[in-house]
Formats: sequence, structure tokens, C-alpha cells
Amino acid sequence: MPRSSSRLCGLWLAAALGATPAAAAQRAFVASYGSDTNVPGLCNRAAPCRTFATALTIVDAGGEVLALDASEHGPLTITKSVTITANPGVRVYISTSSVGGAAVAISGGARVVLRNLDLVPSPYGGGFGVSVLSSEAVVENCTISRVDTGIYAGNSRLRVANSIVRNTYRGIYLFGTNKADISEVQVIGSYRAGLEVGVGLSSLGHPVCTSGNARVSVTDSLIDDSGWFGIGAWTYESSAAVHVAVTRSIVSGGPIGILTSTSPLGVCGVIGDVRAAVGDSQIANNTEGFEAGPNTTFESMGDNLLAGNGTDTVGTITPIPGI
Amino acid sequence: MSPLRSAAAALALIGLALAHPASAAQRAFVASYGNDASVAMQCVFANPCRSFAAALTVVDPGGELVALDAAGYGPVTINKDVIVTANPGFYAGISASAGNAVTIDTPGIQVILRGLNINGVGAAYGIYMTNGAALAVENCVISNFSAAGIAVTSPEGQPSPNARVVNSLVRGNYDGIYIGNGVLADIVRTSVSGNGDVGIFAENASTTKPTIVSVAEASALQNGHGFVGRATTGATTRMSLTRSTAANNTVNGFHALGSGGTAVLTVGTSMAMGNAVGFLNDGGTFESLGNNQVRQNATDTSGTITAVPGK
Repeated sequence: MPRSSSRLCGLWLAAALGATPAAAAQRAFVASYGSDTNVPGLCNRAAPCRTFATALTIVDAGGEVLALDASEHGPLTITKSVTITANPGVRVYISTSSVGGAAVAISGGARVVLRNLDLVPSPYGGGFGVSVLSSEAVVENCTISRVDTGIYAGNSRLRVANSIVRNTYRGIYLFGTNKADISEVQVIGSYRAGLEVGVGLSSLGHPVCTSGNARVSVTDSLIDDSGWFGIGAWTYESSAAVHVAVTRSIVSGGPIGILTSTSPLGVCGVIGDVRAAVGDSQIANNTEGFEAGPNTTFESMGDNLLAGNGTDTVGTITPIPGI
Repeated sequence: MSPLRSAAAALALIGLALAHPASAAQRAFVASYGNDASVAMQCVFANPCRSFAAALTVVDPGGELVALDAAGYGPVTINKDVIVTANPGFYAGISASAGNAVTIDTPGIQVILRGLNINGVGAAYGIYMTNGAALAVENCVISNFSAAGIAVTSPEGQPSPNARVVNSLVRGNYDGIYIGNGVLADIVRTSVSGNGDVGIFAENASTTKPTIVSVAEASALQNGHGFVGRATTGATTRMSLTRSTAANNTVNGFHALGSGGTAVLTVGTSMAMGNAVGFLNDGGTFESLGNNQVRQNATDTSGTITAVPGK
């Protein structure tokens, strides 16, 4: 590989020299018939552990924990880089840890992949499906339902793909500085919002005057039956920017399809930079399709289909030609 | 039976035996409970092998290796036409701590990899094809390799191989998918994300054969760069993309990079957002069909972007 030969070989050598130290296990297993006393055997395929939390303690950083059969495998807190996954043919679920707790809580700069999981509340309800704080998380092929917040990210990088989030208060809630990409995701039946992106808001929705930037893309997704808005971008923050781009998606069945909003001058002293850009999408059967709040930028690529809304647009929608 | 007829029958049996090589298995199996000593029984369903590498030794060219249940099956160097696949509904993994997870370096062979989870814990490449006729990667997840998740190149003097990546996820590597030196590739419904360098990198240093890459319904998310087409002096790289997204990449979304050669990037019905530069032409040719959503990048376009009509 001419260009790459030298470059990639160098990388290979670097990787070899700095290779992961001989540690526990590249892959650890859990099963309904497993036992957490199997840690000395490294939760191997023949003698799996019972819970994700225990298997997590012995897997290498960058390794995988695999659930073999259909069962509950317990809530977990993750602070190292790892993939938590399941056989695709079985239902593996994780309940929230407690009222208000998370099924999966990620923090400490970890890079985590959650795949093929079903995240549900404890019998008492509430809580988070996934909570990500100052870390990087990938959520793939997961179903998250009946919790307060399906996925919460604060000051993190988040990618959600091919997943379903339903019957929550907020489906996906991004607070603070975040990069997030949502693709092939269904967010259904959110009591408040399907996707809410805010900077300068406390978790209770009160103004917090700190800086931050959020960049969020939504592609090939469906956001339906939200109680207030399907997608909302807003800030009460002085220097903060909240940018949301939507393409090839449907936002339907709510009071507001897509909303941009910022606080009036005076809450934090200046006005934040809130933008939405929407293209090649359907905004249908909402009371209002697009609502652009004062002092925000709402751009339409001119190829959106708005139909069946009580009012298609409210506020200033700026047409932008494609490139 | 007369002695003469017995001898004839024996000869016929020998002839039949010689007609089929000793390693003749159209399909070989591996399982978590398998044993590589089962190669003596050709890794049959009732006596599967434990590793892909062992099962490969007994399968016919053009045959299949099938993973029966959830387990890791070890790195493998493939030297014949073969399909490596997993039972749908089961996880079939390859972890590698050094070298490559899957290595292909045999002229003329055709390889299909389907339904595999390929993870690096210190290894360089997930799938590394440096010689071969065709590679198909379907429904696979390839992650955490220090050089590239998938890299396909072709030596001078060999025909251009075909590479196809469909329905797959390639994440957390240095480069996601690297297509080099005269390879013809199609990449469809595939996500490349969190790769430190480039999501999908089409490159060419060969002056005898072009690198041509078609991409549809792909997403390049949170990489260093999203999609890059590059050609060095005397080489040609063509990369075309439709219904694809480059979002939140640290540097560029879509990038035509001349580097002395002919690098042509053509983009339609796609989106770039959250990148430092959405569309970048740096010494190449960047064609846009006029229906792309390029907004919310620090700089939406840089360099000459040529509007071309659809046909």
C-alpha cells in the first residue's frame, strides 16, 4: 500500500509497541445460567458470569462482554472502554438500577458501545435508559422504553443508530456541549420531546449561564407522537451554540414538529446561537410544522414535504438552496 | 465375484477416491464446543472445529465456513475462495491482539465475510486484503484497529479487484475503510464512525489502474475526516456518493485531494454538517449535483465546487 505502507506500518508498530498489556480477557460472557463466581475463569464461554457488572471487571479495555441468552443481566456503571452486546437472536434486557437511576451509566471518559440490548425501567419506573457524562457512547440496535429519559448525554459524544426509544418523557436529551448523530432511529410516544438539545439548561430546565456548543445530526429517522415537540433546539446560554441538522426523516404527530428557541436578552445577558437546517424530510400531522423562535435561525432546503399540519410554519423560515 | 471383477471394482473405488481431494468439504463448521482435531472429520456439523483457521484447511475452494454458535473463532489468513459466515442470530467474533484479524493475500481468490464481529485489541487491521480478485463484507461490525477496519489494495500487474461493503459498521479504528491502488469498490448502507483518521478513504498511487469507489446511504460520523478521495502524481481516483452523510467530523466532511493526481469527487443528495469544512476541494475536482445540504459547518465549502446537473 504505497502511501499507506509507510504511514500505516508506522501506526502498526506504534500499536504493537504500545499494545494492551496482557490482562484479563478480550471477551467475557454472561448467561442466565452463569455465575458471578466464575470470575477466576474470566467469565469464559464455558463458564459464563451472571451479570454484566461482574463480567465488566475482568474484560480488557477495548474488549467485549457478550450475553449468550435471553435474560436480565443487571444495571451497570461503566468507566472503561468496552462493548456490551448480546447475541442478536435473543432478548437481553437491563433494568434501571433504582427509581431515578440508569440502566447503563457511562462516565469517566470511557468509549462504550451498547448493542442489541433492551433497556427498561425498574418496577418502580423512572430513570434513564443510558446516561452518558463526559464520555463517548454508541447505541446500536437497542430498544429503550418506559424510562423518564431514554438517552441522556452531557458534554459527550453520542451516536445512536438503528434503535427504538418509546414511551418516555424525553426520548433523547442532550444537555451541554455534545456532538451527537442520530440515524435510523425511531423515537415514539415521548411525553415531552422526542429529541431535545439544550445548552445552558439545568436538568430541570432552569437557565444555567455557562458556555457550550451542541452539534446534532438526524438522518433517516422517525420522531412521532411527541407531547410537546418532536425536535427542539434551544439555549439560554450566553456564548453557546446549538445546531441541529435534519435530513431524510419524518417528524409527525405532535403539537410542534421542529422547534428552535432561545431566551430573550436578559436571562444570561446575551442571546445564544440556535440553528436548525432541515432537508428532504416530511413534517406531517403536527399542530405546527416548523416553529422558529425569535432570534434563531431556521433554514429549509426547499425540498421538505409539510402536510397535514395545522400551521406549516411559524416564525421566519429561511429557504436555502442545495449545493 | 471373480478375481478379475474384484480387481476392477477396487480400481474403480480408487478412481473415485482420487476424483475428490482429501480435503473435500463443501461446508465446514465451527462452534464454541468444537475441537480443531475434528479436521480429520472435515469439521462436519456433528464434529465441528473450534477455529476458522482450522476449518479453512478442509473446506473446498468456493465452500463455506459456518459458525454455529456464539464464540470467538480466532484470526484467519484466507488463501482460497470461501464464504465465512455466522448463523443469523448468533454472535461470531474474531478478536486480534496483533497483526490482522482477517488477512487475504492470494491472487485471484474471492472471499465473502458475513455476519462477523471483528474487534481489535492491539491489532493493526480488521480485514486486510493486499491481493485477491474480490472481497464482500456483509452485515459485519469491525472496530478498534490501529491501522484500518478494512483495507483493500492491489499490487501492480494484477487486475483490479472488486470490493463490496454492505450493511456494516466500521468504528473506532484509525482509518475506517481504506480503498487503495486500483481497487473498484461499492460501499452501501454502511456507517463509519469514531475513526481517528478517515471514515472512507479512496486513494491511488498506481499510474496503471484507477481507484473507483461508489458510496450510497453511508454515514461518516465523528471521524477525523469523513469521505476523502486522493490521487498522487499520475494516478486517478474517482469517488461518487449519494444519500450519504458526513457529520461532526473534526476536519472535513467530503474532500477531494489532488496531491498531483486526478482526484474526482461527485456528491448528490447528501448532507454535511458539523465538520470544520463541509465540502473541500484541495487540488482535485469536486462535483456537486446541487441537491446537497451543506450547512452548519465551520466553513461550508472551500475550493472550487463545480455544479453538475443530474442526468
